[in-house]
Amino acid sequence: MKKLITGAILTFFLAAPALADDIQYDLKLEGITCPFCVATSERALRKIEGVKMVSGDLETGIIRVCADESVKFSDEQLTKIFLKKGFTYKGMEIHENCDGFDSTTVLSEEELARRTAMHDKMGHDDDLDFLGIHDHDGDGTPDHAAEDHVDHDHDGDGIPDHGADYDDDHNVS
Amino acid sequence: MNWSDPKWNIALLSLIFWIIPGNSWAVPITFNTALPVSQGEIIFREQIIIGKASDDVGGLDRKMTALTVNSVMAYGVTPDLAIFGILPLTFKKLKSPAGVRETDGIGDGRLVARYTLYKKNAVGKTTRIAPFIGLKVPTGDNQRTDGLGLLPPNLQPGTGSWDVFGGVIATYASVDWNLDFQASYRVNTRDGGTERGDVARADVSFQYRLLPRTLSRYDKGFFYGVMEANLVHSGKLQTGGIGDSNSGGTTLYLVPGIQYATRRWVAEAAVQIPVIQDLNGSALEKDFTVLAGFRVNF
Repeated sequence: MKKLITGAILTFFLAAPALADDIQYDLKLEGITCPFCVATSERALRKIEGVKMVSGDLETGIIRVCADESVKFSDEQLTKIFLKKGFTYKGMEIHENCDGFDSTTVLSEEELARRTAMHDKMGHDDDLDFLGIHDHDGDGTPDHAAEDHVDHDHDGDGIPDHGADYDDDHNVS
Repeated sequence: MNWSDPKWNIALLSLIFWIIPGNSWAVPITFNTALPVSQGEIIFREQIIIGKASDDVGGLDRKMTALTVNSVMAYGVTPDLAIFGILPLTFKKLKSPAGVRETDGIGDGRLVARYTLYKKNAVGKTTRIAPFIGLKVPTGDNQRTDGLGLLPPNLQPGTGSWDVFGGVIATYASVDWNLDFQASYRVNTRDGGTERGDVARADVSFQYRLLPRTLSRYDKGFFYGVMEANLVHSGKLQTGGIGDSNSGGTTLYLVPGIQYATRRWVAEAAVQIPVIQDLNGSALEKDFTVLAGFRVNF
């Protein structure tokens, strides 16, 4: 039962912020022919508040943007953004979720900061430490479930991690 | 010995003056491209050019080495207008039976404005035509001396003259290959009693993506093979209104090179080989020029 509750909490904290009410925009561009063209377009889009992830496909000329529902792209806005880059915006397709993204997708600065803050909070905030949620390898998944730590003794002091001596936890030499 | 032989000077300056930057696309190495500099973005380029000339048809056994480091800053004023500033640092050395003469220092800077007059974008390709105009500023010293007196013009870091140049660049760029063409003309003005001949030039560059052969969304950089050709015609040096019969001429270069372009930077290297040198009089003919450098987008 404890595992079930912990799993539900983990699912809520890790999955919900990235998926709930997210919208995927497939922006069609003309004139992009190189990795830089994609990169400069991605940089411009990642500056927009609410944009979480951006991914470009050079061959199709499509830039995918995952944004929360607060973002409302307009053709006029996108035309202006890409005109500055020297490219031609030709339109967009809107999808209800961000299924077009994978783990290699570049996060927006805002989203990266948000997730980093969340990581810190989830992983090192004393108030939440009891959950045992950590993502030290940065792969977006927790390293261990909370109860796993009960059996760990990284610091070799004979006391399970996250026990009374939690200040020494993760002090693995 | 004809220390004032301007051939080398003209050939070297021709090369230096026209090497202006492009973008993080695959772009020409020895001349500019019509591809855009995004509005508000800065490109920094650093390029080392090492030239050697020892084929002395005049039998004077001269050997000249020139090293130039070009620092270039490009800025996108608007999507169509880009400005470029170029400042060279030069080292020149001339060996002959009479001894060794050498100099180093800041060369003549250049300011260039390029405007995209025509562009047609399509999925995975773009075609552009961009005229440009530039001004060469005499920031380099042209009165250097050594133990033998005033150095000849071809060894001075600068020319002392304000010169204007202009031309047009046409570029077709696609995901797989790019083709650039440039035609240009430089009007060299008088400095004191000396006036270098004008320079007319035609360039072509072909860049072909060698790796990766098949595109994927995970590609971080492209490796290109580059082949360029430069046709350069220089007029005769005028001294006191009289043309120097040992100056000016026409040279055709072939320039094989390589380029690696990523999302943020480009590294490149090439060798400029003179395949035809139809120079006037007893000019010192070039052996080769090596070019290497990088560009970074900010």
